Amino acid sequence: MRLLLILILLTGCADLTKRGVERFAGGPDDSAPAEMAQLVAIDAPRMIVRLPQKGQAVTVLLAGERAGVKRWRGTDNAQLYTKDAMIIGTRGLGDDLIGADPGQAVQVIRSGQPGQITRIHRRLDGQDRLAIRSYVCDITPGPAEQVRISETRSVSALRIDETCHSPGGGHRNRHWLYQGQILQSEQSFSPEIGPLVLTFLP
Amino acid sequence: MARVTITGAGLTRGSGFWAVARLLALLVIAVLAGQPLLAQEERRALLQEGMSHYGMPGHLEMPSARALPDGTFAFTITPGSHDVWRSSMVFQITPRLTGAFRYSYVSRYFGDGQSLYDRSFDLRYQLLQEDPHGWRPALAVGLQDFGGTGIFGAEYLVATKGFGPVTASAGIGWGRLGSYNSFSNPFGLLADGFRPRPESQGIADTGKVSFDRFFRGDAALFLAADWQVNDRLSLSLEYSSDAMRDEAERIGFEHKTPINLGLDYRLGDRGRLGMAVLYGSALVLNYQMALDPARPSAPSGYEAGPPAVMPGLSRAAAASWGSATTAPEADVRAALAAQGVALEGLHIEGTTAHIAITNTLWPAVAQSWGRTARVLSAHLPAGVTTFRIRSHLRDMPMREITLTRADLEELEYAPDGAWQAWVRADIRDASALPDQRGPREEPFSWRLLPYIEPGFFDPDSPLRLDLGAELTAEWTPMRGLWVSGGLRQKLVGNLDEATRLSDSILPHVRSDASLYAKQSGPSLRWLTAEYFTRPGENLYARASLGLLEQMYGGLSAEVLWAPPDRPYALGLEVNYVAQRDYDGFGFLDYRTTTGHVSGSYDLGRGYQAQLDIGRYLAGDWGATATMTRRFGNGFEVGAFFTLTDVSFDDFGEGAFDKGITISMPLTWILGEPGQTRAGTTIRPIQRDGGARLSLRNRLYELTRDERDAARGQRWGRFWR
Repeated sequence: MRLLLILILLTGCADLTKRGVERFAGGPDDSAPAEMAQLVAIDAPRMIVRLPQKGQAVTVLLAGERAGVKRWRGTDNAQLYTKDAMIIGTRGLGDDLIGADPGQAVQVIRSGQPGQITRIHRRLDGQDRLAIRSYVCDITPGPAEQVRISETRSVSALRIDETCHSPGGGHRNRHWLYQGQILQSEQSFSPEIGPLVLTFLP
Repeated sequence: MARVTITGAGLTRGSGFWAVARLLALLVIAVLAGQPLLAQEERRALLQEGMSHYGMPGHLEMPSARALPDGTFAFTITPGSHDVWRSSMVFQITPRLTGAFRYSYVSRYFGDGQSLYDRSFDLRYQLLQEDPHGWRPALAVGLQDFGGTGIFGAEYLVATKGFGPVTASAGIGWGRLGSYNSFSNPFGLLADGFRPRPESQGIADTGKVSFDRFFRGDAALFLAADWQVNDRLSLSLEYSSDAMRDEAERIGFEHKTPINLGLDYRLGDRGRLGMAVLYGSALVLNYQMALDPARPSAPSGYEAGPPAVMPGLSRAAAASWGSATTAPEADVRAALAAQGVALEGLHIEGTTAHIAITNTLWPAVAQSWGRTARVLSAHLPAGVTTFRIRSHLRDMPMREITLTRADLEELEYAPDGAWQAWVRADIRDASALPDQRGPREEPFSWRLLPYIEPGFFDPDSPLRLDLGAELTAEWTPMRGLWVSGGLRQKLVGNLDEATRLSDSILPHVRSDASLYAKQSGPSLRWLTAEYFTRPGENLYARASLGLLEQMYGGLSAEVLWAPPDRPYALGLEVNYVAQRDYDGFGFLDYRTTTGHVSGSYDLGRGYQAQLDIGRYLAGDWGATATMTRRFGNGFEVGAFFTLTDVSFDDFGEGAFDKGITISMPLTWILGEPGQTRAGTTIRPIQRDGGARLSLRNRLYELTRDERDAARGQRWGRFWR
């Protein structure tokens, strides 16, 4: 092993675990800077993504939409794909959701009624195979809560709780409905990354 | 004296303790920095079972019948107050088979005051798996130091059972483990031959597998128990069957009691720190660390997101370029370069685009294909609906995949998109397809990097080190022809201080490494012209001419037949070489023809066997057997041995050539894409028998990733 490499590793690894998230939060813009500048210029729709487990928050911009899937990106081109406010993919977070089938999640959540749905997640297993994990999730409406949507403005939104189970473990999602739409949503797919809290800005 | 060579791919090889230390440093980094928050639901507790001071799953000095979780790679270091130090590297080869390599130090072991630096191997097989709910204990049979000097040699049969927080083992040992309170060998009832244990001949026996001593001689019983006090702390108590006779005689060790006591503190689930009082007279510390090769620091990597699938350029935009057959090329080239892919040629025929590429960044070939397809969807006219992507490696056409716009649009966000893409890709061998590449864009490249070269196992100074700068350059005047060289200048170091000369009675084909290290001027590590080509389907060929490696120059030719849909591959390599002068610019008188017929067999689940039969550098004929476990992410652990017609006596210390190889992609640690690998070959000792050329770019390894991609491996990254 070359010494330089070790030095690079020694100096470069201190924040290794934060790398993906930092990329998300705006590291050096190393990929397609023109796209980002363009999006800012046209005032593309924005979304705030918070990662409480990592203590990070970032604004991402809508970079494109195709077949009902919205592609959001941060300044350094970490990406998030949503379909009807459900995360169906991420790119660049270190333990990405490669693909997901949220089933009837949106319909049940928006109905404001209790229900049960199935979610299927695909993540890389460390050996570049996709590990499929399916969850059965119970959806139950909760109380109304204030959701802050800008520095000065909050709205009262209905919280919908979603508890997902699988033989290998589970997680909890939460969604906030405002005027029949999902205004804010907390979704998990990787215990390593923890929940992602998405706030769709009007 | 050990040696390090660096191949073109950046693979670093070395051997011995320093190599272990370097790797250990990397792995410590990996463990500390890379894997802190793995899923509770997925992360395996690797060191739920502790390891003994000998580096195998066990108690303090005594072994247990337990195994580590499959694939676990672990290290231990155990300094002791009685001037005995041990360090080991252990690998759970299969769910039941555990192997370890150990480096031990015993101060003033020899009569003349010299200390012992000992390299030894252990193997253990779990015959019965424990029934956690019933009565059945785990049962294992083990060989300790079966191929080293035999100083720590022992065999044992041990049963282990957990009772709530207590794990207890009882066993019978032979050799070192049959030396305290021993009794006549029970196997003696079967045959008288088991009663005596032939004396070890010490150094003269080094390296031979001591079949004639296995389970021979007196036996003794040992008992051990660990009590898990709480989640992290455990206490150990054992009754050892090791009388420490050798240590008592040679270094004045006092064996006051067979009872050993220890405590052990678990650091997360990948580390343990322990302390023990041994035989009433010594205090030892013990640190253990484990990693899971199957789990890299970032399973999906930290690289930026891919470009999106786009509808392509409108008719108007395409028309503005004029001729659609040439104009988009510069644009596509730039867009692909941003994705770590070099464009070698672009040719549009009606609605089909033929694209020749070289993957310059991605460890998983499928990912380079996925990124290429998406770039094409955006940067080619919308009317181009079929993409035929052909990948190249060292200018050899490798595979062609075909995907349509409709496929990409349908699958980009599909939950099973990766699987569907692989099914639809129609992967073919590209060897016979017409070449549509243009001239090379950048035929010359170079880089300057520091290097470090260790030397070790010299009893005068077990660790030596050189540090310097290495300049490598590569020139490709025509397709397939690669002229490259590597020049090193040592800046500081002490490898040249080695004074011991080789006592080998064979031609000194490897054992004069210290003479090569004495040169202070720049040293040309290699300077070769290599030609790569595909003679036919499933065939690969290479010819190399020049200074092939640090010690040899000449001509090397290789052909490989490796169908991706079969588990086997066959290779033939023939070399005519002359030994290079110690100063690196001329040749010595030694000339030889060396070469091998190689067969590889993929046993499935990542295990691969290889047999190389042929003539070695010293003119000896024989075979090398290699078994490698390769994880899906490219992490490899292997072991090999070579037997030739050189007798054990003529071979000298070690008896025959053998070793362990470890190789991992740097991506495994860093989480960033790249094709560089770090690795090391650990040989207990490097002699002249069974020695092979250290060639860069051997075809099997060079072409493996492409073949793996053709059979669907690592396609989980296609959409990453």
